[in-house]
Amino acid sequence: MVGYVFRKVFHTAFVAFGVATLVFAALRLSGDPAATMLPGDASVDELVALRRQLGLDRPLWLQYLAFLGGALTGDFGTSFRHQQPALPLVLERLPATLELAGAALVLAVALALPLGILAAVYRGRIVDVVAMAFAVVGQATPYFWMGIMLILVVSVELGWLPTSGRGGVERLILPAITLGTHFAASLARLTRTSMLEVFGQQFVTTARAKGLSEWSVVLGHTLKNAAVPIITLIGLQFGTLLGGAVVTETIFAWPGVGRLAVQSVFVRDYPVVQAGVFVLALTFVAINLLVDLLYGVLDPRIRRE
Amino acid sequence: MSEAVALAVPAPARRRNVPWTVVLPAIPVLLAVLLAGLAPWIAPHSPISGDLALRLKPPVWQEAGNADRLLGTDLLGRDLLSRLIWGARVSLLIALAATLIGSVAGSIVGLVAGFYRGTADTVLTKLIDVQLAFPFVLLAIAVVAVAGPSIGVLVVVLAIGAWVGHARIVRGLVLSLRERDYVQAALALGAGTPRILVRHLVPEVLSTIIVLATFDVGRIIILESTLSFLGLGVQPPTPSWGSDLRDAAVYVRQAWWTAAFPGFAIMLVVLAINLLGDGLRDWLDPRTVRARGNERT
Amino acid sequence: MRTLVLATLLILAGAAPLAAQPGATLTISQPADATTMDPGRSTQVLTVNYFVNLYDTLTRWDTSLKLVPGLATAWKNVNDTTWEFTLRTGVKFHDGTPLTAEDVKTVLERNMIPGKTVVQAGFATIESVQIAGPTTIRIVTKKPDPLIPVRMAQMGSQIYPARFASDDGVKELARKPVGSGAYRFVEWIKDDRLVMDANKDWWGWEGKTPAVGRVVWKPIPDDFARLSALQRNEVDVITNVPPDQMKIVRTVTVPSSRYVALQPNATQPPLSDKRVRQALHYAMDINSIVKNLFAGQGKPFSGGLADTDFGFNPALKPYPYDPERARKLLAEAGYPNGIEVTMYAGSGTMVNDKQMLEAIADMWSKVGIRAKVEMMEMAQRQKMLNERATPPNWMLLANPQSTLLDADGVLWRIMHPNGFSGKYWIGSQPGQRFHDVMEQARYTLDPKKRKELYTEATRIIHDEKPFVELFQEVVIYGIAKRVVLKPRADYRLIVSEMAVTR
Repeated sequence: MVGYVFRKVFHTAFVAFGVATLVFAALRLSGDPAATMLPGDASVDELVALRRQLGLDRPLWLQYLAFLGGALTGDFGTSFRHQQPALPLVLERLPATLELAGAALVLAVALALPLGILAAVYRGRIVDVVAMAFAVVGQATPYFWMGIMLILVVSVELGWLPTSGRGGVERLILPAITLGTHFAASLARLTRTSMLEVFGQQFVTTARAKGLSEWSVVLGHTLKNAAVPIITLIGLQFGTLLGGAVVTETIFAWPGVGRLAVQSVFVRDYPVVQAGVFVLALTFVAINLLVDLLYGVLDPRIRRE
Repeated sequence: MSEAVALAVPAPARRRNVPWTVVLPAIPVLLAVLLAGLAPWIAPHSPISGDLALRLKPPVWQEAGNADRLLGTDLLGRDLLSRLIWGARVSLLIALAATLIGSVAGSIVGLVAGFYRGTADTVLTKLIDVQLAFPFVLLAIAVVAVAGPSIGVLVVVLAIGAWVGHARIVRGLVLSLRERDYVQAALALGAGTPRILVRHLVPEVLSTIIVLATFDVGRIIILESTLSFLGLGVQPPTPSWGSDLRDAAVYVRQAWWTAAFPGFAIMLVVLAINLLGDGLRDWLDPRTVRARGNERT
Repeated sequence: MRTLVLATLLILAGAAPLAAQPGATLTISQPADATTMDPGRSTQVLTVNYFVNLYDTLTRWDTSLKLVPGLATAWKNVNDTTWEFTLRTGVKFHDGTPLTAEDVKTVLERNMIPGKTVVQAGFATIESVQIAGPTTIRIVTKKPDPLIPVRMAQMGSQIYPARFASDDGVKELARKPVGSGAYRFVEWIKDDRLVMDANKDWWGWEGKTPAVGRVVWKPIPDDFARLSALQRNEVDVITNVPPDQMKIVRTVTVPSSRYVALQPNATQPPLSDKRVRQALHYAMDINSIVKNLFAGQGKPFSGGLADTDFGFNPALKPYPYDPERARKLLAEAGYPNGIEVTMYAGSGTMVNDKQMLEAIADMWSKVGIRAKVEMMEMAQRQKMLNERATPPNWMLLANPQSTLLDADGVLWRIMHPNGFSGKYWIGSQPGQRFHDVMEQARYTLDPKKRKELYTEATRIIHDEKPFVELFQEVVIYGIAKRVVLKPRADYRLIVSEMAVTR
């Protein structure tokens, strides 16, 4: 077990390093931050002076080493745009994104699991059809469209909830629904499929033969076995969740990391993008690590791999 | 000698008739592809040239509508129906191209990594994990920033988004298939690896790849609209459902048709594609076939 | 008697809701949050809107855009290259410390160092700043500069305590601004809200109570969400209302100091021929574009200056829509079969930018000008420009800011040989008439003479078309019923000029 954990942690570190290098390279190939900070009609001299001030005239390898060294100590430099240290800028936005993602996840799981189970148990009947219809439609709706429709119908026409911004629980509902819908749809369908697969397996027919009630069979045995693919999905989908978060945060004026990261990429604010990508990647990898460790606990066979 | 072994191997589940769960959703998808292909001949007007005096006119069944512009016009006076038809061309082309490239590339990587294991596997999995950890949207922005927002670049970006999923799943599948008796037997008997790959593994994996690819097409259409939302999608005046939906979103209250039709188009096609994928998977995937078989007892 | 008192009370009670409500809270929503509170570090309209409320400047533009006293009560030329400003007494910063000549000098000197701020270009004519007395500042210029009083009102001239001008100090200022302005900083949660409270000790209230006691700035990036928030009365004022959406909300408008133009590369054929450039203008039906895409919110013009700027020449009329003439000009220039051009624009330059370029391309195609539209990210656009990686037949969508409300601040700033557009037109080079006229006007102290020079300059622009003017933009704000707001042509949202009724 220790070997397994050790391997996984090392793997995590490697991924972090890879991501950091990738973002460093991509940024520097893609544009000039000084140009986006000055008015559009700035002269060449102004640009050169600003670039020197931002440390962009140093040789590339020097910038890379400085970046790596800083990353290890948590110093990602100062944001070009905001003149604040980059990492704290990202970290202070993280709770908002986690709140949104967490709410979306909770909502999705609370909705999708029962839906998927019901659809599997009553396979072929009206419940199944309706549940899967919801799921498929949910997956076919672009994030921003869902957000705009929700604002239009629920907020403006019906007046039930506020339009945007972060605040109490009532402001969390619409963004969470928007972000969580795709995930809920995938989860519902996956749950249904996993349950169906498990239903057909030997130990279930054995349990049935033993006379256990239908529901205890469902919940007790099948859920536990379906747990593995479901957890995998959560781990994998987290990345997509972050992608959806960018759109959701923009539409609902949610002060999260996704919005900051995208804005910063557009203006080539290197320190913030680097810090942001790093934090997001680390979060993603940490979650996957958790998922992998959970696997190790749930399924001894995987540990030996 | 290896021929005898090959003959003794149980064949993968053979398909009989195509079930209606596959045929029914396939119809709208094929229809969309047909429309897209025939666009130059069936679109009533030019999708890029509009008449500013006719902007934001409603569809024909509303009072201010006119039969010449069946579904109404957009904010630049362009015929919505023509834009939808041509847009199908662009959106579907991008999605299909990206899916093709992504699934082929990803499957090859997955096959190699899963079959050969060892250093190749370690390196490739690390690569996959690094990319998976990188938030895709930011990657997309960076790539488009470096290479410019042309259709070719979009296809590449979306293919990059698609290949990792394929690689991972195919790898996992190959890893488990590899342990199967008949593969081990073939290896022991000295059958060349390419032969094993082609004759035994690919057919098994193919059905999974097809199902994955089908779902990818739907996912990519949605991704394209997300990229359009950020301004990175298809550039004007080329029509695409994603960017048209994005441009029309602000008009949703006063000119609902500009947003509704591209929106419905996306939803219907992605819906059909996902249902098709479901149908294909139920039909082709050996695991659920077996599960279905077991259920009868 | 009692009925009279009762009646009076009733009348007063009935009248009260109509009176301005002192101490009310106003919520303003722009499409993005400010990036910094350091006035030297941003020239974006969005961010400057925060500065103009938190800080003061030596001079300022009043609601009719006339230059009036700010922190300085009077100013005059001591000699050709020296301006003397008399500072207002008794002004205190929000932290209680007095505003002194030392603060003014330190801030101006920081603005003069290249690379320290992004506003340096506006202060480039200053040689030195001297303190001639406890309330007297002398600004010495390298050559005679008629615009120094105006420069003291521009972006970047906001005054803050001297201790913040150090490299460490500005980091703190960027987060927690300390100024002397009408509103003081309370708190800032980035991308969520920034709160300001009225500064009761502000010299500018002139004895009246502040109508708005608290301002909350809530950025909402998405157009639809921002409009919806106004409709639901979650916010009071929104900026950047798309012209198409004006019918949905209550709006106030005014033609602004910013205009839209296409900047062609006039150094190479085919665009180096003035007839081709003129053809570009004749082949565009600008009135139709303004009417259809911008709900009539736009003022076509010619001569390179908006009507808000000093030097504007009202005698110059925009070219009429004349596709025949355009075709003739092209043929005369040697292009009877038309030409190919590429139009570039940074996404988000303005509302409906993409749609406008598409419409223009469509119009041009009818006279044989085949145009390709390329929208790019702002950063990409800058990179392309910096690296001069531009094809010969390109043009750029530009909407230059008028920083000084003066021809020098816009026309000459961008057309100067070192300027953004100057390198794309031969007329900007020394020895050419346009260059010489503009340079002369820059250093002439007599306003009448300057006006003459600018009249000639604008006529050259009108004729040569080094850029193709489209129209003057219009500021459109959406406001709630209870808000009283007169929009300013310089895009500044100055809360002390607003009021809230019940």
